[in-house]
This record gives sequence, structure tokens and C-alpha cells, in this order.
Amino acid sequence: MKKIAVLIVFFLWYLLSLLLDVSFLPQPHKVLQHTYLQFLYADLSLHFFISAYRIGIAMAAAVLIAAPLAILAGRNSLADTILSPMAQVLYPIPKVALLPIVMLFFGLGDASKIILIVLIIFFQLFFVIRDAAAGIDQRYIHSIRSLGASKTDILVHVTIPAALPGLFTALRVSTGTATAVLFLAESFASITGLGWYIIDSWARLDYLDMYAGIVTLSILGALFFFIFDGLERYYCRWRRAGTFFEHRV
Amino acid sequence: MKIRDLSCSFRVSSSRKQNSFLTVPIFSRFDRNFAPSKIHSVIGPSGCGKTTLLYLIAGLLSPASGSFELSESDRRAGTEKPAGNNGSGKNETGYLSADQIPKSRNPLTGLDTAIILQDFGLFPWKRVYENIALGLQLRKMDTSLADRYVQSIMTELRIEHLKAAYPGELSGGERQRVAIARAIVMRPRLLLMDEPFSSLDAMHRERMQDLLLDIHQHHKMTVILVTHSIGEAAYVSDRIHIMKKDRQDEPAVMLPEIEGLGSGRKERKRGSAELFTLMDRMRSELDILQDIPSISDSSKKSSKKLVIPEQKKRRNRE
Repeated sequence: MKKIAVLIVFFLWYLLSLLLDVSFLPQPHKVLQHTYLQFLYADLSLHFFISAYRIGIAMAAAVLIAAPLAILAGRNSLADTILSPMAQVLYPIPKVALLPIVMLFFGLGDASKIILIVLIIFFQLFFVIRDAAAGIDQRYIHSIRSLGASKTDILVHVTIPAALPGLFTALRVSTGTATAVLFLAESFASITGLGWYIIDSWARLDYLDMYAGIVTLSILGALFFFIFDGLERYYCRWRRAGTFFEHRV
Repeated sequence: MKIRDLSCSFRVSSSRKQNSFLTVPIFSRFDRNFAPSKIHSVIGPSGCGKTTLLYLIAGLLSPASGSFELSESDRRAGTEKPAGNNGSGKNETGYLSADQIPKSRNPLTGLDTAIILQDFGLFPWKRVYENIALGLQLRKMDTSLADRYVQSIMTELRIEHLKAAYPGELSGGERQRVAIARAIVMRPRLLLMDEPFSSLDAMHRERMQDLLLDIHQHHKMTVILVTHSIGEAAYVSDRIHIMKKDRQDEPAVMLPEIEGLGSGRKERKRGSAELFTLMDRMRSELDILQDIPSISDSSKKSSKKLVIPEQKKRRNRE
């Protein structure tokens, strides 16, 4: 089905570019060829890896900050009464608008871009993981406590495995947001990354370059999506085991 | 297994007034002896505190007062050497000498208990082997020794072939076996079972009841089985304890124990006249308690008529 979807997209693209016949909508095969050449023989790959590095670090940092806090809030009512209202108040603030502030504080380098992504992804992860941790069926807690588990044991053997599916779902959903925020952050006061590459070629009216940047950024987003999908398939393979067992966690 | 002076109550938030709580007593200065190495059934209608009793013994709930004592005569599962073994360490079925027994005390209560919950409580993210080995792992048992334990239990319950499967891939009966294995592998002196067969279909239920009797025959630990099935209680147990809670604001009462059909008998017949006589006796005992005049007169409004589901079914049939 994925192949058919790709074919349909390309078909519509061809159709549109042939009908309109404008310089800013080149035909797909030309774009792909150009992307390939730019990636191998020019500096597109450099910008790809810089962007990948920024997203990768930002996602990892967001998980490392959000997951412990979310699990704490989900399993401890005192922590929940402190953390959750704060998260609820901060969540609706459009954090991309904080870009200038973040740049004033953290400079124009990688740090400000990574921090902006973390600020946004944090909330997407926090709420999903907190709900997953809070919704763990009491029978699993009873079950492991009766085997003599300490609080750490409960965390390792019940809370984390039960919250993992939620974490991976949230991460997959976040890849779209992360690439979008990265694009914005890189398009300001920057000379590296795919966001800059796209904006720069747009300003130079080099539309093939611009499309090559867009395609590469899309591939980057898809790459992260499939990495999280693969991790979910590996670490949560029990979810695909059997059909008649209810997976209430 | 002795229960001394057990008191426990629940605080329930009142539906009429906000921020006001109703104290519902479950047990008040409750005493009971459970004879060692026997299968005991605790039977009673829903909400009478059967499961609460098990959770209290297992340490999942803490009582307001009271104590539980296990004596040396409550034999540890799997320490009895089977007939024909010359007694030199372990034999082919994995029996181990006394010093190889894990310290299986439940840190919550200090008692050697294991509990099988109503819906088994297997972890869907762990394979069958990991589920069974978890208890030993948590008590920091030596890995190779734990492995031998788990293997021998899986052989005994004929679930070796399911070792690498996830609980989601198992049938109800198989999951029940895994849950039993996970409890037995801890070598408890007291095995607690909370309506363990209620989610199985009739045929599996009967098979699992027989399996329980076989396991008990083999391991000789004390078993307390909570059930609301009169037939099950009569069939599997040595002693039947009928429990009853007539009014919400009164603690539960337990009738004097009744002799069950006996767990040790060679020929156990499901259709025997003896079994049906026993079931009828239990039925009448449950009814008598409901019809104590002083209770039903004084609390016509608040007391609910409680009917045992199985009894209801039988009445409808007749």
C-alpha cells in the first residue's frame, strides 16, 4: 500500500508540473536526480547530517527529561499535583514564538535550535507518558508486589515496559513537529542545516536546489519515524503476540 | 496458618455528602485456623471480604490490627521428597535439598506465601519463562539455580514448550498453568488463590481443578482458595469456610468449617451423591445465614438480598 501511495503522489506531481509548466515546479525525476547528485557530489549531505544531529540530540534530550518526570507524575500523586498543572499552563504557549528569546539566551549555534525542539517535544511526550504510567492496571502492581518487588523493581519490570508503547507512539507523532520546528529554527540567522539550505536556494531562485532540500528534509523526517517504528516493533513485540489477550496496561 | 485478632475496615466516600467518609468494617477481631497441608476453600457472596482476606494475608493490604502466623507444619511446596527417591540431593524432577531452597519470604509480610490473582496477573511484556523466573530474580537467587527451578516447574506443569511465548499467545488454560508455575516456583508454605478458575470455560475449569489437586498431592503446601462456586469448593477442598457479610456496617462472619470431599482421595467423582449432598448442605448453610431474623428485620431498607450466582442458576434450572 505504501508503494501505491508513493506512486499516486508522483503521478499527481507529474501531472501538475506538466500542466502548469512553471520553473518553480520541476518534474519529479529531475528533482530526484538533482537531489542524488547534490547529496553525493555537493554539500547537501553535510547539511543533512547537521540537521539529523540536531533532531537526534533534541529527541534524545526530550525523552531523557520528559520520561522520568512523566513517570513520576503518573505514579506519584504528590508529583502529579505539582508537575501536571505546570505542564498544563505552559503547554498552550506557542513555543516557536520563543525562538528570538531562545536565540538571545543560547546564541545562534546548535544549542538554541536543539533547545527550541526540546521545549516543544517535551510536552508531547510528557502528557502521553504520564497517562500511560497512570493507567497501568492495578493487577500488575499487585502481581509484582506479591512476588516481593521493591519500588525500583516495579519501575523496571512494570512501569517502564507498560509505558514504552506510549513513548514510541508519542515519539513517532513528534517527528513531524520536530522537523517543522527545525526548519524554522534553521531558517533564521544560520548558515547550516537543511532549513537554511532550502531558504538559501529559494532566495537564489535555484528551484532544483530548493526541491532537493525539501526532499531531503522529508527523508530525514521519515527516517526518524521509521527508526521509532522499528524500535517499537522490537521493544514492544509482545503487543503483536496473540490476538485474544486483552492488552490493558 | 493462624489468623489472630484481625481487624480491617475500608473508608468509602459517601455518595450523599461530599468530603464525608463511611467506614465499612470488613473484619473485627477475627480469628481463624487453617490446618496445615490442606486445601481450604473460602466461599461467600461477592463483597463479603473473601478477596480482602487473601490480600491481607498476602500483604497487598495492611490490616488495622492482627497477625498471621505460619507454623513449621505448614509445609513448603516441593520439599517433600517423592516416593522412590533415595534422598540424595536433587532427583530428576528437580527436587532440591533444604539449603537450596530460596528465601521465599514475602518482604511485605515476612511469610512464605505466594498468590495467584483472579486474572492471573501475568506480565504481557515478559515471556513465559521470564514471568515464572521473575519472583526468584527479584529475590536475587543465583541464576543457574533459578533456571533449574523454573525448568523443573515447567516440566511438572507441562508448559516447557511455551517457554519463549508471550502470555498473549496462550490459551486461558495455558495462562493458568503459567500463573500456577510462577507461584509454585517460589516454594511457598501457603498458596493463596483468588478465584483462579473463574475466567475459564467449564471444561478447562474442571481440568484445572484436577491439576490443582495433583499439584497439592505433590507439594503438600497449605492452600487457601477463594471461590464463589459451591461445586468447586466442595470438589477440591479438605475444609470449606463459608463467609458472609449481611450488612454493610457489620463485619464479615465465618461459619464453622465444613469437611470437604478431601484433596487426598484417589477416586474423586464429580457426579457422586456425596458431592451433591455436600453442595446441598453448603447451600442451606448459606441460606440460613441470610435469614437470621434479627438482621433481616432491622435492616430491611439497607440490606440487599444476596444470592450466590451459582445458586441462582440452579434455581432457574429447577
